[in-house]
Amino acid sequence: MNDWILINRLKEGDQTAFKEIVETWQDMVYNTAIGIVQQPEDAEDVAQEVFVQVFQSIEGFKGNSKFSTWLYRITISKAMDHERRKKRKKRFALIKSLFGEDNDQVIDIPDFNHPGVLFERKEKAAILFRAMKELPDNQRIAFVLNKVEGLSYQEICEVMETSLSAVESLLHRAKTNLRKLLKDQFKDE
Amino acid sequence: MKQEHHIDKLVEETMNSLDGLSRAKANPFLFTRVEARLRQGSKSAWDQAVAFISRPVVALAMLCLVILSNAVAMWQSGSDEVVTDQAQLALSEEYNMSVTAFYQEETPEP
Repeated sequence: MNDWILINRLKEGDQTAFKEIVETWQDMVYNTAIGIVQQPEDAEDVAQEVFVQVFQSIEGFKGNSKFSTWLYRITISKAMDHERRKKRKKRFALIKSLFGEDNDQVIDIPDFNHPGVLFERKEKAAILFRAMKELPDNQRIAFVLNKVEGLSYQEICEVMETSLSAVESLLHRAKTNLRKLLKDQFKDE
Repeated sequence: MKQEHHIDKLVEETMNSLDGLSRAKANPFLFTRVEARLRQGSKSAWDQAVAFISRPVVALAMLCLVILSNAVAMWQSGSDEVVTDQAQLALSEEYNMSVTAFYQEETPEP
């Protein structure tokens, strides 16, 4: 009910309502984004893009889903776009370096440490986040929503606009793939 | 066997490493930054056009269109009727192409 009051105020052009919306949901958006892009600066960029999009397209929000569900969808879409742009840039830099056009090395970003992970688990969480990058997009999104944002299977269904069995299958495959990736990595060490 | 068991244990510990994770906090000045972005306003029409044209899909589609229009033009010119001698003559007379040497044109009349 409170969400609706804020949304309607924003639709009427109330700037303070927008501030309240940003302050209420900024951690949720940022945490989801950081789970996907795995870089604090990139996650901040994504969060900014998300709220700009919210401001510009609030008229399009009809309330068919919860506001938080709509926000999750925008965040995932922006974060995945960001990831694709980054991959494209990396590929382009690699091609350029092969032709000797650019002497800049393609820098490998160090392991990501999520600020909310318990201290004694930081090392292992960094390994898990690295392995998560290898997952197919849908499995990765479902895993982040479940493990990083703590969403239930039902909530993930609503965000990903899919069935409960599809989410169960996605998460099962994500976990199986991660176990395999981790096992291979630990064997090589 | 012992090694295998140890690896399985490590894998499970790693899989459970996100348990009890707390939310990462966003920059407290996020709203100010969002406001600044909004104030910058939307891109100009020119920027949008450049961004649209430079998209790989659009560039590739345009290239295909150019190649296709060239192919169509070549195919059509190949099937055109052969220009008759009379038509050629008329054209050369119209553009004064029948003059074979420039001095003939410039020689003053006696």
